Amino acid sequence: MIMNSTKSNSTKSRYTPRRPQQPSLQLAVDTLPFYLSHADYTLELANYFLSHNPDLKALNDLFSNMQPLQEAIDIYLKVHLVLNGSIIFLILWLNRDGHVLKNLDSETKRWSCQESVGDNKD
Amino acid sequence: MRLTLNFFEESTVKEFFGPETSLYDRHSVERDIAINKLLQEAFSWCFDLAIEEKEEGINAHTLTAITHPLLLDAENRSRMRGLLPFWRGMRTYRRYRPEIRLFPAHPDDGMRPECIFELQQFLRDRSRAVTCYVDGKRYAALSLKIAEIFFEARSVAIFMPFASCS
Repeated sequence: MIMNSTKSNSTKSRYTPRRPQQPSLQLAVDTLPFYLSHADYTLELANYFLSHNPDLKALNDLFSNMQPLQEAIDIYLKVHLVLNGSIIFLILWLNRDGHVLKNLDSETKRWSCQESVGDNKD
Repeated sequence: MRLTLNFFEESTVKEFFGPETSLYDRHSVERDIAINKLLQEAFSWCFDLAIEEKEEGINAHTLTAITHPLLLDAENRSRMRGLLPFWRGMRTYRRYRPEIRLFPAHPDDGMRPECIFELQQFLRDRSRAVTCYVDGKRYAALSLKIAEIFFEARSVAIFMPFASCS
């Protein structure tokens, strides 16, 4: 009985998930563009692709039909850049004449823009 | 005799369901409502389980992945099982949820392609799926998971190239 329990424990501890094989990885290449085209923009995913995008070029020889995946990642990253750029542009445009600062409540103004108010006074 | 029967049936339908509603429409609507309710009961626990037990959305990822048109093919579903270690096929769902047994079984993984198609349509229809609706956040989470698995395996693929690329 003890032998059986130790055996089951050892088999559990030695269990490792199987590494995906080539057909499964090819399926990832084929299906990922669809999932990406329906995915919301998230900073985590965009950053992951930004850090791993150069690796795709190395995989061109190993997997067929990599073009759609590359295009899908490029489009996703462009959305990321456009969103970030538009947010920065919006903040700059709203704050072009201190417009945002004028309309903020006094408490929020004190909390968020203490330094800028100090600079204006100087 | 036939004319009499048809007249009788029509008059009965009009009497009970109104002049503009046919018997077929009435029953098809009720059938849709029943199927929606069964599917919601069968699959909403997958998303609830992911939140409660913090299983990193294991079941949610499986249901999100199955919305891809390529996965109508049983061979691709078996490949997906090889890609995602947490993949739970329809056979598993059928084992724990008797509601899904209403769908005809398939020898490969427990469900026929037409049933998978119906499930895909259900999961992508916000009005029908309600809590089971596969939205953009779930697609983003699945994309990140597949990308992580893919790029983690890439180093192995580069240094140990396979004999054939399918």
